[in-house]
Amino acid sequence: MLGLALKSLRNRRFTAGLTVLSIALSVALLMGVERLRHESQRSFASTISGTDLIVGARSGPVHLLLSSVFRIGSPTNAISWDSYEAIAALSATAWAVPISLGDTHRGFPVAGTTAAYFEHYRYARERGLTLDEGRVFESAYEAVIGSEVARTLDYRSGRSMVLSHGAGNVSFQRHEEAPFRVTAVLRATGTPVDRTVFVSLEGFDAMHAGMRQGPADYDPLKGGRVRRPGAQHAEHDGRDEHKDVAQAITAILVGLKSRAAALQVQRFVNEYAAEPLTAILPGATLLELWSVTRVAERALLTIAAFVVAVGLIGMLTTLLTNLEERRREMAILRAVGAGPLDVMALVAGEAVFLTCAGALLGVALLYGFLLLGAPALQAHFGLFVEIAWPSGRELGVLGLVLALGCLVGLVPGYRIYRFTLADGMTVRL
Amino acid sequence: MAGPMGGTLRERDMIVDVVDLQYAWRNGTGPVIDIPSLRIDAGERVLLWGPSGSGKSTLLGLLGGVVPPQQGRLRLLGQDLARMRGPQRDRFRADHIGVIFQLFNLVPYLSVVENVTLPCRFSSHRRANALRQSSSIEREAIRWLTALELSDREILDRPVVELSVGQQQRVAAARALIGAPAMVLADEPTSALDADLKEAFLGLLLNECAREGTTLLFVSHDRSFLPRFDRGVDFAALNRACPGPSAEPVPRRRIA
Ligand SMILES: Nc1ncnc2c1ncn2[C@@H]1O[C@H](COP(=O)(O)OP(=O)(O)OP(=O)(O)O)[C@@H](O)[C@H]1O
Ligand SMILES: [Mg+2]
Repeated sequence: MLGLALKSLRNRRFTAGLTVLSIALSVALLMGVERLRHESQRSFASTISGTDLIVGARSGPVHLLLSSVFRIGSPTNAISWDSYEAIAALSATAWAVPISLGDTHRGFPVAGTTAAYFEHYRYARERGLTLDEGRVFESAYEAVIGSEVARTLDYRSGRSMVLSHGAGNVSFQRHEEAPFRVTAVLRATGTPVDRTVFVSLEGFDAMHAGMRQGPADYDPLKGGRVRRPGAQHAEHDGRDEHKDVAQAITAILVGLKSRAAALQVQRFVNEYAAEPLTAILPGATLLELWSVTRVAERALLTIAAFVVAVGLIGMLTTLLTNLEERRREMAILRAVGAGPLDVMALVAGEAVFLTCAGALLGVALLYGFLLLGAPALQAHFGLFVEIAWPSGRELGVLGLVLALGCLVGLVPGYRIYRFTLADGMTVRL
Repeated sequence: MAGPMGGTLRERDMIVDVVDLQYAWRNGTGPVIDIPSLRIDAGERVLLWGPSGSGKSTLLGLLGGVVPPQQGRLRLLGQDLARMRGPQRDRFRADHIGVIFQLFNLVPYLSVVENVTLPCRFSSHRRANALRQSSSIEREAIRWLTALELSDREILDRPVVELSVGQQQRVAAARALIGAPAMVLADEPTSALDADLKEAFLGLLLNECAREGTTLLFVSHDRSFLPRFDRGVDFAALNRACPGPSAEPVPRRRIA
């Protein structure tokens, strides 16, 4: 029987092949959507592993998370250096790393921070940042760049770069006077770190200060960071815009001695009297983010599911159109001893076979796309896709498709069953 | 199933034993078959003729176990088909009966030899019989094709849909005869052939059945073949549900 079924299919290999292909494409689409959903969440979640709290100016938690960690959207408002010191001084705080954001270099975000960032930042559970070459910045005019920055712009350590002011690729004022020297390139992490140019807070300030004075006259490191606010900038009062930004930071990454203190510290920050602040728990905020994106995911998954339905209906159509022609064939098989149930199994089994073949090919296509497309996804969307075995959920989806395929096969199966019972000895077509 | 198939039994016994058999198609307009009695002995070659629509094909369907019987006695090879369940009748047919249709006898995607060996796939009984004759069922298929004058390699290798109708019917005869079934049911196998081919085909089929001792029930519109058979049956006279031969064919009222 099986041999017969395969020979029959081979005889109709063109339509059968098309059917398998359409099912395969729809399955690949469905599983691809599910895979990207899963991978993007995993990728987001693994971007901030070691950080217990993120503090920024009062704003929406999602906004703060996206801008401070993922460099998506406009940075939140500045907060004062005093606030940083207050939070860093809390007994529950293990470490606190300030970040200044808002500038870009040739499309890549520039972050002002301290060397502590490289020590405490964690991604993908427990992995820390590694320098591929060179050393962390030590003076204001040094920079550490992410791997993708290095690759795209073809920068190495030792080369100098000019940082501009203001988000966006085109800036009104190119800070030609303030060249930075690259001291190190970070090893690829698959996180937004790869796309970031890191400079010291002082360097970040100097980008603005340099507008008037030039780098030679300005070395905030000499004064030490504690004196950072105010002191130096008093010299050039004419640039109020820079004065404000320079005295401030955008966000603080906080590590706690004990996770249990998280809510307590969060309350302290949220009720901080000197200025309005927000503290977020990255994990909880991610969940909030997912609840926002869920609508879009559902829509995508629904569309993909409909595409699968279309593929299966296509199979049903071809099976049913073939059916009339196959009544004679079935009458012959009945004459040599096949029963109506055998005939039904032959036709329904074909649907099962086509669906299985389609699903397998679909999975193969998906992995093919992933293998070929992973670099592009990482380059364009910063999405690091892991080529892993199908997850339980994906296998579930696959199982569902197979079950539906079998169900669809019952329709022509039942029809041919009725035909063979009704036809008797001679098919009257 | 092989029980009642002993050699002596075959010669002596009744192959077909029908008493008061009645049948009506479920969507039809009344009984199509109403046969008080029909007996065919082992090895007999019987011509059954009658008008179109009189129920000849329906009777063959009943005898072959394709159409489930409704009323009356229907025994083949001493076994009661009326008492069998569907799958048992299918096995019975696979083991003991060969069928030749009027047209479209061959499975288009199988080769000539594969078409002939088809019954051996469904019946281990016929497979064993075939292997008693030849070393493989394919050899046995070729032996039958040769007997039916189809030995040309060139013909064997061609897709079956490219064969002429006469060639196709001979392939069908080889398939009906392979593995020594007790009976061959032929439903107007010659009506698509022209006169010369008719004669040739009939001659081959009758010879092979005689040689093998196979019972043959041959249905035709055409009673001119009668002298070449052991016996003829006028279906119009046999079947009480059939209007007289002078009457118009049974009104074919179909449910729209
Ligand atoms: N599968 C079927 N379903 C319903 N009615 C049928 C079926 N097969 C035959 N009939 C009806 O039964 C009657 C007898 O048909 P059957 O085919 O047995 O006649 P026949 O003697 O073989 O005719 P012909 O010589 O034209 O082949 C007809 O009225 C036909 O319409
Ligand atoms: Mg007929």
